[in-house]
Amino acid sequence: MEYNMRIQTKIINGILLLALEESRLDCRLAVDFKDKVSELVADGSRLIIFDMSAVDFIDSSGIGCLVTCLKLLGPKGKIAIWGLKKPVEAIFKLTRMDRVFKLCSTEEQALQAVLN
Amino acid sequence: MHILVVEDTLLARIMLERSISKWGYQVSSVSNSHDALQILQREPIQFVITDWIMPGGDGASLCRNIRAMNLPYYIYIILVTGMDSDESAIEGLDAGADDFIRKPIQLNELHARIRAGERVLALEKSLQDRNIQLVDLSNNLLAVQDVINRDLHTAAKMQQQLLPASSLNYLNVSIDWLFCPSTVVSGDIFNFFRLDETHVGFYSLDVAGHGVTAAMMSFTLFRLLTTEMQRGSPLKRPIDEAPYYKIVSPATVMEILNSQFQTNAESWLYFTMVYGMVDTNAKTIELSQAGHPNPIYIAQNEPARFIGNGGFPIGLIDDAEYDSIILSYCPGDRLVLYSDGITECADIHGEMFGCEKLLEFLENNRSLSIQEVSKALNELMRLWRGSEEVFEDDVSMLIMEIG
Repeated sequence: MEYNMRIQTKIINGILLLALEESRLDCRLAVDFKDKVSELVADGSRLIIFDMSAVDFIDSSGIGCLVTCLKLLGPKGKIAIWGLKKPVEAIFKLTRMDRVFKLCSTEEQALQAVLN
Repeated sequence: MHILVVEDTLLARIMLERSISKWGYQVSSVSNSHDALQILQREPIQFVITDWIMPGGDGASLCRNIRAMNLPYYIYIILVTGMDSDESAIEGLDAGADDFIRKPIQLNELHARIRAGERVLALEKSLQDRNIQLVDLSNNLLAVQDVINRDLHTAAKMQQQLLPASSLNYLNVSIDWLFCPSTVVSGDIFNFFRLDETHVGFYSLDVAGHGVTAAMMSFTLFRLLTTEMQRGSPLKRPIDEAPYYKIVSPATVMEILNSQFQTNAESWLYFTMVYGMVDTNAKTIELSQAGHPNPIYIAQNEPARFIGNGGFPIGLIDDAEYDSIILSYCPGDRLVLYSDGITECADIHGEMFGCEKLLEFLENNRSLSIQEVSKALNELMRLWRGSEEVFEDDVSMLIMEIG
């Protein structure tokens, strides 16, 4: 079933900051998530920061969503993610996504990470 | 439209009949409610204009009797009441009349009220037609759904038949398993097979998402992951010298699959997997992990433990590299592969089962046979989930014991 996901958007110096207001990032959200991000990316942003501090659970579909975002951004794109809770971080490690995304502990660090 | 006039006074009846037929309606008329009910039983008349006071039953009781007939169509009733008779109007409307008109009847007013009634009947008719269409449509949909359901159940049976027989034993390695699809068909699949005289292969995989799309992908992968080289199996490669094949290492198998199943805009299907093999000559197990939960190893005289350091899911990252883990085994050692449907299974409070609980369960039940273990795990998972609830994600577990 499709689901309308809650996400808060702001742009600072051309960097797209997305705060996920969902406790679960799983296959219910996959379609909507991809649509929302492709819309935002169409506006030209190539640097994205995800605030995942509200997310308690992510499954392989959720991981897939994040990778889609990265693919949508193209070769110049960068994604930093901050605010990972323990179980979410464990899934990132299990799927080696800690090597694909820049994982940070604060928004500040994340901003630095995409700019470098 | 056919209108029935119920009026005991002859003069008034004739006056009404004439006017109504002049307006282009078909008219019948009777002088009392008894005759009115008889004609309504016989003929499909949908419009009644009745007097309030008549010998042998007043207009209100006629209204009630008409409503009690339960005809398959609606009858619109206009009640003709006396001058200043508000109470009879209220009583008549309560009894089931749709409208009323006061005596002396103004003909143009009556005509307007008949037209209003006609509109109501037309609306009622269109609603009824729409209803019939909806019932037809929903019957058709139910029939289609029925066909889909039957197909799904056939597919589920086919999927169950793909699974290795439980209590299968190759080269002294025996298995048992647990398989509970969350919908009829599953995106989880696993297998166990002989690669050659000294190697046994095994895998557990989970296509992201569940339901039909994931299941079709799992069917495809099952067909591909065989030992038949003529089908282009990634597990064995033909070579020019004896024995004319080479067993592909698990990490290389993952790399081949990853390049073959890269996701793109059209196809967004990827999966997590553990693939491995037992080498009965070298007494080793070699396996590679692609985003799948860490396997659990239960060595004799050692606590159960997780193995593996993770790995990229297959199909997500171009040119991803995968590692192989090699373990030496002793007879009696066990290896357990499972999908995240087990560890992420939530109880009624939303608490996840978790991998630690699975490890603990396997440790505590190490003295049971592998068949007893999978049976006990099935019971434990259902208890955790709550007996009536279906699983939210596909649940699968493969347990192997090396003899």
